[in-house]
Amino acid sequence: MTAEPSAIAGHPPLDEAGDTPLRAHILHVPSMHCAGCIGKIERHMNALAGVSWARVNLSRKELRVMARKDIAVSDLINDMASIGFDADAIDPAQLQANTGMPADAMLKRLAVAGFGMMNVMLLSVSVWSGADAATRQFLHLVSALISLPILIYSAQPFLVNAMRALQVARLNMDVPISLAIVLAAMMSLYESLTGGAHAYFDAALSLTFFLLAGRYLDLKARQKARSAAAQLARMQTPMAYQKKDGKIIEIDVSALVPGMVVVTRPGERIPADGMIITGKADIDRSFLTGESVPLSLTPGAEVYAGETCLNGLLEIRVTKSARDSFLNQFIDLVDIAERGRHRYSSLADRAAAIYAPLVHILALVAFAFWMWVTGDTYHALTIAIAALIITCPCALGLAVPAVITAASGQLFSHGVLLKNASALERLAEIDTVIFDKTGTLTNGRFRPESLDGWQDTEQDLLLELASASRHPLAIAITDALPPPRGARLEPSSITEVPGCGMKARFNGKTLKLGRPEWISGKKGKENWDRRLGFRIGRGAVRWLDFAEEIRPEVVPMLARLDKKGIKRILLTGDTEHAASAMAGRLGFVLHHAGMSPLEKQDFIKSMKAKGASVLMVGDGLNDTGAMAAADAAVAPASALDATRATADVVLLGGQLKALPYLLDTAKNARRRILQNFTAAALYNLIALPLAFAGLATPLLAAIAMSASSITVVLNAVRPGLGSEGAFELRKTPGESGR
Amino acid sequence: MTVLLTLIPLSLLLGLVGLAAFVWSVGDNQYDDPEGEAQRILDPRFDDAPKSRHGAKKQTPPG
Repeated sequence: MTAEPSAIAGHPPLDEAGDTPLRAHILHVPSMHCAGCIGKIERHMNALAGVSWARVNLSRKELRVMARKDIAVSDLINDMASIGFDADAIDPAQLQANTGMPADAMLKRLAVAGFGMMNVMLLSVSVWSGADAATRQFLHLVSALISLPILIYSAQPFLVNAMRALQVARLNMDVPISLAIVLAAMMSLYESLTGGAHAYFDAALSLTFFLLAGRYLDLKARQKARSAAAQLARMQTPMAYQKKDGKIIEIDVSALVPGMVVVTRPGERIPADGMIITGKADIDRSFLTGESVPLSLTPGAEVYAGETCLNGLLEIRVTKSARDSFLNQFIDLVDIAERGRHRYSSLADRAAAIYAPLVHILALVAFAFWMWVTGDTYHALTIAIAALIITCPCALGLAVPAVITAASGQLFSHGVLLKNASALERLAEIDTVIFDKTGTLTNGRFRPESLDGWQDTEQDLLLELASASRHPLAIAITDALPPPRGARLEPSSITEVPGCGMKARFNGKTLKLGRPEWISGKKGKENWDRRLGFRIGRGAVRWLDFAEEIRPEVVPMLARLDKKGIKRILLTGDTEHAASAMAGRLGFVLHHAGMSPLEKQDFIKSMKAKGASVLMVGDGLNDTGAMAAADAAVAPASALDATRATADVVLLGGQLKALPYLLDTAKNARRRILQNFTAAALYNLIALPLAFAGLATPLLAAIAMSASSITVVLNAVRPGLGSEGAFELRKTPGESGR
Repeated sequence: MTVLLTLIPLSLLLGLVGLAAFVWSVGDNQYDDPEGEAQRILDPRFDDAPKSRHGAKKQTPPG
């Protein structure tokens, strides 16, 4: 609740020098993961001139740096690159929107409630063990003195939420909670002052404590998820360097307007959509296209915000303001897709919708019944309040967050990053998995299939030609061939004929490596899209066929999906020939080729309309629409940033084999949530008749409340959440069977 | 039962001290980076002296 501005920047660094103004930078460093990385980064950054303080936050993968004002973010990023870490600048203002402050406030409230609960519980134990009337009243008054201020502070989130709901005439979970807390406190205060036998201070406090614990876990899970749109926004650099009257000044990206000229230095992200005026550079556009080969751009070429300039100094004329940039439009699209998913009503919501009115009705019925029987308002009210306290959804508030926290921890240790808390529930219902082909099932590389039986000289010449080209198929040849055994043959005048292939001369003969149409002079056939021809002089054409390299873990992973009876479909934008070959190799019954991104999305919508629960696994920008439309989406860590942002789950380190484990865990987690609901309901089923009969003493309320909450938490953390999948995952392929 | 008049305030006082310590530690961002703190214990830089409050300072020579 403290409002120090520096709290956001981690440990508030002291400006010792005083005269040199410092500036805080936050860098996102996704690749650090261990003590070695922390040491390396902190040692290096702290040793830099001009850096007064640098500290890593490993949980958030962030590096915070205090540096002299004249040190630019890009210098820091370059320094990080020199020790082997990719880093991106994060806009501190953007981070402020979703940082840990409310969670800290919640933790303090939780601690205060816990303190009060334990102390009052101790006093209550003395009461229950039979204190005489005077001592009992004294103990009750001390309890009141502790409880009332603590309740006012700790129960605030519930009270505020309940007020908000009531203002728009709606009921949410917080209404019965607040009612129970407030009524319990008021009735207990009355009892204490008049020397009554029963005070429910401990119940009110433990209710607050357990519910706050649930809220805190929930908040933590949400914070970890951090919105996908916000992750994308990280690609937008906060600062741009504007060139004005021959001078270069640093300005805020939001202040850029069309017509301005900005300068981008090597290693920086391009701040806005625009056109290159001067300079030449290689541009990394991989976040848009997935193509890891950088584009070489010259003046006149268009660039987009978020692209990385790898080398060369560029002057760019801004054509669109930062708000209208392609990246920002994309962020908006993802945002809309995300909100669509949030409309999924979770189990907790559905339970609350039944529970909240039910609790009120029951309390009202209890009041009416005892009014009718005894005609004693005080007696009827006491019983109604006791019923309200006992039925209060204490365990219910913990039922979902406890399971989700336990599950996401387990998944993370298996290399599965759960980005969205409600994803587990959606994943549990999946019966159809749709795979993208390139980059998801395959690793995007090719392997020549027909290199056996080639002569050494032929192979060496092929290698010479192929290694002169950056074409993916040529690279595949270079990777597959052994280095030349003898002296290099060195053919002369190697040239690349754009759109055709490579040409060279060797011993008076023309060497050609390229498209089959170009080599043979015939019209293209269907199976020629994965084929190259190689010809020496007028000799026979040697054909090279290429197969896509399938990720090694894919085959066992698919087998395990089949064992679970999950339907799988292959969707690809590739040709029918390539798709059916892949479907054959991997045993897909259904495949659809030549799908445009929109067709993919429509296909998934039609599957859903037929009642299927669809999981989309994809890695490209062309899959994002489909992923947003699906019930749940998974992306490998190698996917595009934008695609990872749309996915609910990211499989780290290419752990596609963790997919069946993920589905298992989701199913188990859902089962445990339902078990928890059942357990909570069961406790109420026992306690409620007692409360109705007027037998609900504070002791009974305390036992029922604590016991049900503890049951629910223990059920969440008991082993077996990851099911047998956990063991199979660790096994090497050799040790089959159990 | 007059002993209660001493013992209850005393126990409350002790509890409050613990609570104050916890609230201070939350405000001091000690729960900010649980993963990092768990890893830092493996770093030999902090073997002889605890880390300074504002991260690793330059007193230790790099390397």
